[in-house]
Amino acid sequence: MKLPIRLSVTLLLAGSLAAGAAAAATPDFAAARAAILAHYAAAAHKADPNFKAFSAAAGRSFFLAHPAGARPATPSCSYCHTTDPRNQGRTRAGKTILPMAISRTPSRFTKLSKVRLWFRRNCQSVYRRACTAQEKGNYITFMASQ
Amino acid sequence: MMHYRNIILAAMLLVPGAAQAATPTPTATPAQIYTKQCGACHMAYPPTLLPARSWQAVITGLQHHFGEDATLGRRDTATIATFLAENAADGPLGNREFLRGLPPTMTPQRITDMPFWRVIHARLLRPGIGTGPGIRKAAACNRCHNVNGGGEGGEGGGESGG
Repeated sequence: MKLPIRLSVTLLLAGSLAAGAAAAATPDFAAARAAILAHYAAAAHKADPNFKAFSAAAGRSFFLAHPAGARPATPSCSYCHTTDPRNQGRTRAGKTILPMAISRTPSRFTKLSKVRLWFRRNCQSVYRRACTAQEKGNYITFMASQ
Repeated sequence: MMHYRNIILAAMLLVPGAAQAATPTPTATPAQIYTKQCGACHMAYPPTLLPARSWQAVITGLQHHFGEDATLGRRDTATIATFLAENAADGPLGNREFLRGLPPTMTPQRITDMPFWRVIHARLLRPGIGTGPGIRKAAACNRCHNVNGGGEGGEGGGESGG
């Protein structure tokens, strides 16, 4: 599969960052996140051959939207995460949610099983359906820009 | 002097086995998996506070868990279901004291619907508690109780990792 140029560059950058990160013995979050984005890019390309790249702006709209079919308890992603993902969020039961923004929580979107679990649940709660690969990639791209 | 009942309760509020290590590892114990997964959104309630049939209803209803989708992977679901059944009030490791006043026909999914809870917390059962913002107080035992190993606190519990 041919990756979009921007994504390939991201992967290359992530690779070089990885070398530095290993030397500093810090978790290699950037490379792990790039791999997850590449996973969703491949799926998005499979669903739509015209898929070019993920959009942080689209991810932002998706995050702030109040979908018509949302469950009453969870009208929007921003209901728990707040409208600024650099903020801490709060679950309905009152627990703190660490910021979704990568700048604040660098470990976000670095473990595929966890990413899948929370997209599955929260897409069902807010959008009442599974999210598309493109939507997930846009979302992660938006959070990486914050 | 601390009332004996409070001492028992304080001991019961510990999630068995969860206090030793807060960070789940690939060889995480069932208690750790329970605390990590369930404690991501709310306090990881001590399993002995509900009977096994209640936990079974909670587990089978995770798609609509108090208004949210809280489904888990198949393996974690099975691990947590077994852990809850074993440590439920009527389970082999549970404390039957918490079944007091509970009719066998009743399967509450909220601890605050358990008769023992309502007797002990009668003063909290005023309008506003159990609905709206008040539910946060009633659902967060650690607001008033010193609870260890429940995954509570401002850090975000199991939600923090990558």
